[in-house]
Amino acid sequence: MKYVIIGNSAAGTAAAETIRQQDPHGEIIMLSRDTNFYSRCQLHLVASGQRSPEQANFLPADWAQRYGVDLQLGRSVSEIDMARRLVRCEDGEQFAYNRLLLTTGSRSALPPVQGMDGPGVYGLRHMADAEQLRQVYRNQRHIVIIGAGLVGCELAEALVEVGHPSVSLVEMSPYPLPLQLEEVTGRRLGHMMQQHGINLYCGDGVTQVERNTDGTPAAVHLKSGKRLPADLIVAAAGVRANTELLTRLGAECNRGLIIDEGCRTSLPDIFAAGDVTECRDVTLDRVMSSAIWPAARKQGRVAGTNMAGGKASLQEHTGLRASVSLFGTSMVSVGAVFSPDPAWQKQIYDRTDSRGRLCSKICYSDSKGVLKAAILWGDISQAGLYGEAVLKRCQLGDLDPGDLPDYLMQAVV
Amino acid sequence: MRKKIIDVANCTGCKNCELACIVAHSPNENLQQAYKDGGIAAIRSRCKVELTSEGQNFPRHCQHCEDPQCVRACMSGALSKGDDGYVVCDTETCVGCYMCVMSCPNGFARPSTSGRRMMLKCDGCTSRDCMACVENCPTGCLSVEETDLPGDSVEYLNRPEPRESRV
Repeated sequence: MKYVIIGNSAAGTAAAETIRQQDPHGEIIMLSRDTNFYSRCQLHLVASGQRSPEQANFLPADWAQRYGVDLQLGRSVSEIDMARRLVRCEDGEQFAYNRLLLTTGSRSALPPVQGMDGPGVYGLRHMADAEQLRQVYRNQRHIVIIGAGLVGCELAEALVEVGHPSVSLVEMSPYPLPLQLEEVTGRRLGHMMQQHGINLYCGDGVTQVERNTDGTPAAVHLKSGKRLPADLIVAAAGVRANTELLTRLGAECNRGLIIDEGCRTSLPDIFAAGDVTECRDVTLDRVMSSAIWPAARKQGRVAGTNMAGGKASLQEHTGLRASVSLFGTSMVSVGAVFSPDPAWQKQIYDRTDSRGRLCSKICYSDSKGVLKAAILWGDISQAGLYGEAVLKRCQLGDLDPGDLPDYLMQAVV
Repeated sequence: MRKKIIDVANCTGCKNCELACIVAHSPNENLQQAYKDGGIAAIRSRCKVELTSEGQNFPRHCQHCEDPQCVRACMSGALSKGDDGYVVCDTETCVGCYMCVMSCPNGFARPSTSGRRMMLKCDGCTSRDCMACVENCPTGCLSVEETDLPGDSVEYLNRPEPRESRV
């Protein structure tokens, strides 16, 4: 059996490991545009210089030997020939497959704004982005980051931590991390970021990038009329899935490739996993992307099992689970906290822990008392239990969602 | 394989296991030193004795699961399950993203309180001859058994019945 995997990040490597466990003799070929392995979640640390590109590698050095993977890194795939079951690379090389897995991820989408295209504007999706940023950011006086999602906030924090004096963050929503937090915690985070020296502009958007005569950025103009000086711009406001290889062949596709419970695309013997896909999310019961590391790994394992002839399905799958630590405060969010059902009851529990930190739990439960979503702020040590309760749709009954000792939580799981 | 057996019926809640865990993971394995440096708060015990709603002592230890969710979620490659069955964290590699904390269904992966951003979990005392908690358990609640049986590396006996939620 010949397996070809396109992509070498979370989903692709998880699939290769799983295939090898199931099929000791099959040929596994991994093609990727990237020339080495790295964890995308660490790119902000590489960009700020806190970690080296080598440290961002998430696999042991002998990974390919250990799992018997034929690594073909630095190769871009240009075309998939379904009739002949061939994958063609840009350099003309061809690889035959019996089962194909697409884990091509996504790329940064630049906001469609006048002046955005050109030098001095970066995304943060690839190691090349991070390395470029690391080389240039120290010589740039004003950095403007567009989008206060996970990437934007973590990068802003990392740059401030290494001492950059002027980091601005522009976000359309009224508070940062709008997909992970709600009003109370969101505004609290915004306040915290400002206290640590990030210039935060929430509820605002970029309308134009003003450029110098030599083409370098001079400033960004905001909807509110403000003009922020900008020597370096990072676009962290949205991504686009790299679906082109399969959409050309007519694969069912929304914003990402639609995959079923077994990570199969609508095309025969072609699987997909990771950020490039969309699948059913258990918390919202709707087909959507699940762009987090653990979800990509899980999809990779499920795809790998099914490719090798086993049976696996994405159970209790969700991408609405995030963990982020900013300026020493940890936060975990589970479920659709960004669009709570009007019927859900929201409860906020605040306490101060033994070290004087404010710890909050925001719990959303439905009319049957089932925990639907939760945000933990400060003390996150029980985050996994809350996640389980949401994913398994546990009925809490008379158990108070804000004060659940672990064993009680376990009791309802 | 070394398996930790926890017989809940024998637990008296003395918390010697917690103290032993803190000492074993303090810089010089010295309790007084750990206190003096103010480090005791910084060194978290990896195991915990809790009270159930029925008032029973419930010693809770990382189960070193057969299918460890913390390892599944780790994006830095710091967490791994070794051939000895124990799930350990390479603290040099850990960046403290806390996706393991978010993913452990039992709450045994926790943020470190030592100031450095990294996760903290039971390491099975793989560098010691005997696990510190087991060595210091005076009631016979904790013991070690050599076994070839697959599964989690920690096994519970007389586990308390989960309390049903009353709707």
